[in-house]
Amino acid sequence: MTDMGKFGFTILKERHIDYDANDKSIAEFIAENEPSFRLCIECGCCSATCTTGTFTKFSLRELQIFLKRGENDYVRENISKCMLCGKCTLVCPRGVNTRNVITLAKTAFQKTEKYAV
Amino acid sequence: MDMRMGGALYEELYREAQESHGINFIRGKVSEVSENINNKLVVKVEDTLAGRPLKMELDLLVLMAGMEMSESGQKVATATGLLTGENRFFAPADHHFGSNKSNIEGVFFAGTCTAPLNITETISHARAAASDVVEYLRTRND
Repeated sequence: MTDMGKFGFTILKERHIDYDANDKSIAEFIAENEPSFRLCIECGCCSATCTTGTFTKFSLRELQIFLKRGENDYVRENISKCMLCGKCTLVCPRGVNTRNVITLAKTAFQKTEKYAV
Repeated sequence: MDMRMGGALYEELYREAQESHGINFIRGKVSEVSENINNKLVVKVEDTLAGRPLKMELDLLVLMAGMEMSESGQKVATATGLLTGENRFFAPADHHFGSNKSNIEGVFFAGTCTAPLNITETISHARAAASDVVEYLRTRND
């Protein structure tokens, strides 16, 4: 927060997804280790069946989209909400191993210095 | 999502594009295409799945436009009295049972003059037209 805060003003974060500037290394790491990640058609079956999604705003569909767009901060903040029950993997019509996608995303975040907790 | 392939093996092609060639499909509504300082195309879209605006630099932009009948086709229609349909292509006698026949005796349609078709459909349509012509000539000779 800058001094602007004192006057009741803040600078809004840019809403634009800057596709070229964004870091897509996390998504690439996942796709390399779990090729089915590429097959996602963003239908949302995973989110529909998600237990966590019933009680919180967590949406795996949204996270997969943001991973592909390189909006990694949002994903890193939310991914630990997943309880790894694996129901999403069972319902995926394209056979994406979503559970593995989440664990790989966590691994990738840990590996990357910038995102490591 | 929203990509449903009509026709044999197209769904497999979609899958192959994602799986083997790493193609990333992004659904969105294009709002603006402009040139930046590096003489590259910058496309601004509303990413309707992420629910946020998105911008990216492109090497090549392909615009998909709807297909309509050629101007010369329209001229032929007015000159000869061949009927055109609701889609402004030539109107076949019947879309299901006489898609090669026209409203003028001895004039047959083949290919994309009646509707947009892919290559496979065009070949089939042309073969059907040839067979219709043969049948027509045979009945005239009798």
